[in-house]
Amino acid sequence: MIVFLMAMREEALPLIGYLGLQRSKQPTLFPVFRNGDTWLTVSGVGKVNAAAAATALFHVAQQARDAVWLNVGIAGHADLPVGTLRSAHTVTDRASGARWYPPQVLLAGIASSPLTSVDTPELGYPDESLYDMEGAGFYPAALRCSTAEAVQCLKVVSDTREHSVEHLSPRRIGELIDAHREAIADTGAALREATDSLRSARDTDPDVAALLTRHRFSVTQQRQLTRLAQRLAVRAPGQPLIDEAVARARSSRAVLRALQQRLDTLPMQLRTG
Amino acid sequence: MIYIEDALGGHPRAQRILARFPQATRVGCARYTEVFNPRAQNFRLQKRDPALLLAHKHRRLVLPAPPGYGIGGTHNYYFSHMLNCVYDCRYCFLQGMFRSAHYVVFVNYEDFATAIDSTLARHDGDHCWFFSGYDCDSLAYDPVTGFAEWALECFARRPRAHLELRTKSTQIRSLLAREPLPNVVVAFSFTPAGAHAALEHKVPSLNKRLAALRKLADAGWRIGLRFDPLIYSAGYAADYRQLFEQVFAAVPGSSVHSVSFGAFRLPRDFFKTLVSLYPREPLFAGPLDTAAATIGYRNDLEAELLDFCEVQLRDRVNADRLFRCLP
Ligand code: SF4
Repeated sequence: MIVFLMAMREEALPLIGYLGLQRSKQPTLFPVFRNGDTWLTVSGVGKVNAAAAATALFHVAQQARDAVWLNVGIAGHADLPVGTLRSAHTVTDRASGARWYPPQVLLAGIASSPLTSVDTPELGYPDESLYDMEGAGFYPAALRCSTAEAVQCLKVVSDTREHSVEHLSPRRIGELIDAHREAIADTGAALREATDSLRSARDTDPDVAALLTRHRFSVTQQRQLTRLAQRLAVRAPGQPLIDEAVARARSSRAVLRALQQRLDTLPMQLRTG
Repeated sequence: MIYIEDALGGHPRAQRILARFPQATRVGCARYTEVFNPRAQNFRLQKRDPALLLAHKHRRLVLPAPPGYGIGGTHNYYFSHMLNCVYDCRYCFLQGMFRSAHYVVFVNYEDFATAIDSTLARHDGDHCWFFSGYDCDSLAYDPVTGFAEWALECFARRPRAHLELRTKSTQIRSLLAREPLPNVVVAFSFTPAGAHAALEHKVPSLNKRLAALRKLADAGWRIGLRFDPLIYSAGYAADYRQLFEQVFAAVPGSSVHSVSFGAFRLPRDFFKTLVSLYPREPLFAGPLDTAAATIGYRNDLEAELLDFCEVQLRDRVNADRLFRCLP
């Protein structure tokens, strides 16, 4: 799953169009757009809005873990060319001094810069940082929902010392994001592939669900069942979990015993398939 | 990406390392722990492209080695100039110990020397062993860290201190560049070809490591052979017999300082982390006793594996140089 969090409608429109997102009909605190497992929410400007929108979307999107969370938007910078796309390798909340370090492990191709989130627009651009108003609200909130590698801020330089923020029209904002829509979508897709591989590795056999309805398993036994099913899937790929012995078992304990016995008889190979 | 602790400023070793990566983005941080190991990091994802962290080690520079880690010495310690490893062995306990796969290099090597001196002072007149390959591979990242050159210089001046460099690498240039030291053992770890192919990702081939080992032995260095962890598989007997033949054919008996062996085992918490990172890994789906506090092979299999290897090794090395690693 990918979640895009954008502060302004003008920033969001190019991605909404490119990704074929539709306005969600669910009642939501913030506008939500969706196409399959790609979500986008428009938070409004500022850290509090960004944190609230991230939290709200987490619940709207069935609290999916290990999702990709991208805060995409415009940012100011002292002297980078207008239109430059950067990821944030640090996110600093200027008000509190808190700082986060998004791991830049899966962002090949996109150069990175520090990002400072401010409460009022920064017009002096005092250092080499990007300046926005959402990153430091979005990042810690999204970090509660996923793994740090998949939570990133992608910013397009919109204003600099030479190009004042006052000249930014809504149309221009849309154009700045639109110019990078492919790179942004590709980054999201690459991150999703990585996080999906974590999730699919943890998927359990549907037969586990069938066994859980057939017998009463304690919480500990459920964990044992899941792990035994995983181990059997690795050691004897393609073989059904419910064989004759398991089907005959009259209790949860007998099921676990039958599975363990089957596992014990399999030869140990270090490679499967 | 290279993260550098702000306080390191112009530390010459940090500067030397940075100079090797002129294109890398540099990011300052107050302490490396801000970047390394905070909540919500995934070792498996980070392993795809780990960053380098340059840091200063402030405390606990030299620590007592875990029981069962020694090779005949009475006082055993370890120290880590680095956390994590360029290789990716699926059984490696570092994956369970750290949430981050980034490489941390502590550049204040000289403080390790001070801590080694204080340790030696506590054991007046006695010899002490210092193991360097506990939280990393001692030599694999040596072209970057320059650790071996420093360590050899350090131990050359401390004859009462013994150093084990433990490695799966072939980075032996700094060793070959100088006269061998009688108080340094270069220990190579091996598993059979099947286990190597399935589990030791990015580790140089057995032949390349044997060639490196041979060069060191020819140059007069004392060699350690480490068969730890022993990995069980259906054909383990034939696999280990072949491995022992290959390894002992490559190194003259007179160069072998010590041989140690021990079965695969992991602290329970680490094991659970590894399973959650790699639930489809056959090693973790194997015949393990998952109820024990330390996870290892079922007792009967572990005993069979250990006994078999011990008999094989006794045929090849004197008992006083053979050590069974305790769990
Ligand atoms: S070589 Fe050693 S430290 Fe490196 S990954 Fe393998 S087991 Fe871990």
